[in-house]
Amino acid sequence: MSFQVLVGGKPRPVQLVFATVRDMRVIGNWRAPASVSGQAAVRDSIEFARLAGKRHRHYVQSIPTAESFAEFQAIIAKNAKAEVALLLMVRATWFRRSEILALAQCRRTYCHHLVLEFLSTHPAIVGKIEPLVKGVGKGLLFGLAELAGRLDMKLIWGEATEFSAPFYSSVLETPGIEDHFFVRDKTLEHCRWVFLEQFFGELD
Amino acid sequence: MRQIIDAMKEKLTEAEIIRRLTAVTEDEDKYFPGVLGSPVTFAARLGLPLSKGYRQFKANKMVVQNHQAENSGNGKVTLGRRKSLSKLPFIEIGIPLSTQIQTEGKVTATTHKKPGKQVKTIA
Repeated sequence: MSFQVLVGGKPRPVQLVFATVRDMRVIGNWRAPASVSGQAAVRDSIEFARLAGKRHRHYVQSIPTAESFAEFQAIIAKNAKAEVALLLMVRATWFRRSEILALAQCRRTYCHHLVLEFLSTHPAIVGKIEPLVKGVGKGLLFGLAELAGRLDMKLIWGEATEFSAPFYSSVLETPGIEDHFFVRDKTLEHCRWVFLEQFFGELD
Repeated sequence: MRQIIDAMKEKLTEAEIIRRLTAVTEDEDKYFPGVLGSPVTFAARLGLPLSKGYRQFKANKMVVQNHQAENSGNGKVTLGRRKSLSKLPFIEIGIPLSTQIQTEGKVTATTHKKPGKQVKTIA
């Protein structure tokens, strides 16, 4: 899948793809520009990138891990109650700091729901270093909704923190989100609509 | 539905694409924290180790936060001063350092008053 983000006020395309083992090395090389390395969110972003690699290796050894849409479907066709790990990435060739702009660690549960475990954008994007890239995190979240819809998943859920709860409340148009969120029914459809209509999401 | 959307996209000008993207991302600065989730709780849940640099960063941050909390009592006492003052009797951070005790309308002594506790006076 692909969608559009704003880079310095201009639209640029990005790809939403499944991560592979090779991508783990790219994510592991995320670095923070010195001017923003003291920001908590920037440090969190780098730490999430490192944890994503560790987590992916941990999952590869313990539960099935899908590295493509077809592989995901093959796993659940074989075992309908399989827990499946997914690492989704936003990729672009025009971003000089890294070919990977953002990542989302997810898991398909045995009852065919999607758990968002964490989502992180590149430290330079978090630190708002030029060129300003806008829409990556939001686009990725809405892209997950589109992916869930295509896989006939009825629910995306996850934990919200003090800092992410206002974001979820805003993007899901659900006031009062505290430490967890659910995306389903009309909210899920709305997210899919935003992805296709406002982020100009395109399906492969 | 998708065919309609695809057909519509073909007709959109770049200005319209920018307008829509700007509209959908305009509150990002306000709400999107850059990361969704906490590395600390995430790592703890799976028993994954946090990196040494990150643990040091969090530890430093916590020290700063604790200092701020301690100082917020009266907004003036620094950590260094607190250590020395805390050794003295009747001194607590966050309470006015001196209170004048009056007996029969006259000031007889200056000491520290603890709220809710018996006041000691120096004769």
